[in-house]
Amino acid sequence: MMEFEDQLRGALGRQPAPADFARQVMAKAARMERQRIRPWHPWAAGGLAASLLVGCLGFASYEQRREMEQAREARGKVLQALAITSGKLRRIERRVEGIGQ
Amino acid sequence: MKRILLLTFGCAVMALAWQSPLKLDHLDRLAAKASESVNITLDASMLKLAAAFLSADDDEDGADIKKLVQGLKGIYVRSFEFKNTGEYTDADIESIRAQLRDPGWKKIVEVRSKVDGDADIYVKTDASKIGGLAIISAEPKELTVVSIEGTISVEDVKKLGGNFGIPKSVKKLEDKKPEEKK
Repeated sequence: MMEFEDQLRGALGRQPAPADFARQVMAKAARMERQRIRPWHPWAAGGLAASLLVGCLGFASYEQRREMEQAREARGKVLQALAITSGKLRRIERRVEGIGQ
Repeated sequence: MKRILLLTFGCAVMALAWQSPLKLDHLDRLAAKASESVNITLDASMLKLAAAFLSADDDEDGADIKKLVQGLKGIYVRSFEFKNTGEYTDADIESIRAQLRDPGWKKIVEVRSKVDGDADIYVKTDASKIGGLAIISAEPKELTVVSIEGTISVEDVKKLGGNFGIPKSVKKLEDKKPEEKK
């Protein structure tokens, strides 16, 4: 029993740290810190750029479509306004001609 | 010095008055009484947009209309058709006529009829060119006011009054409207 206890004590006894233990710990800590701080993995940055590009293209397409709709609507209004103006001028012209006769 | 400043200010005010479109907003309330109404307000930016779209127009008249529109700064139309007579007042028209008494405007046609109503055509003159056109057509059951701002040649006005090339689709709509209402 005593022999077993001695073996156990020997196994669990305090061992002196290697000479460069502190340096290794500090180096690993610095490495971990660098990994933690790095904001984007390359694939994440690429994904974000692609998303932004798709978003910009989508917005540009939406804007273009909206502008086309506005232009089509404006064109319709111009034609309607000219048709009303033309109709009124013709009608007034006929009335003036009628008075003349 | 004071006189020069006053004169400059007066000229600026007159120039602004000459350029500003007719105020037709007071007519908008008539839309509630009308059986049919048209309210068109097209400023310079909208006309530019429309002109750009007219270039893509396949209709042979598109080029003529585009040419006309390019010289314009604004088109304002208020048109109301009523089921009954007396839905609008003389005051509604008088406020527009008052604006057209401005020295820049010249009345070129005046038609008065107790049966068919009144009609006036005004042009805004600036030296040799026409800078605007206004029409007031006040019939018993219909009131139409048109104000076109911008450079319109006499020839264009004649074309508008004659068989101006309004695209067939729109012309058909216009022809469908009963013109004789008594």
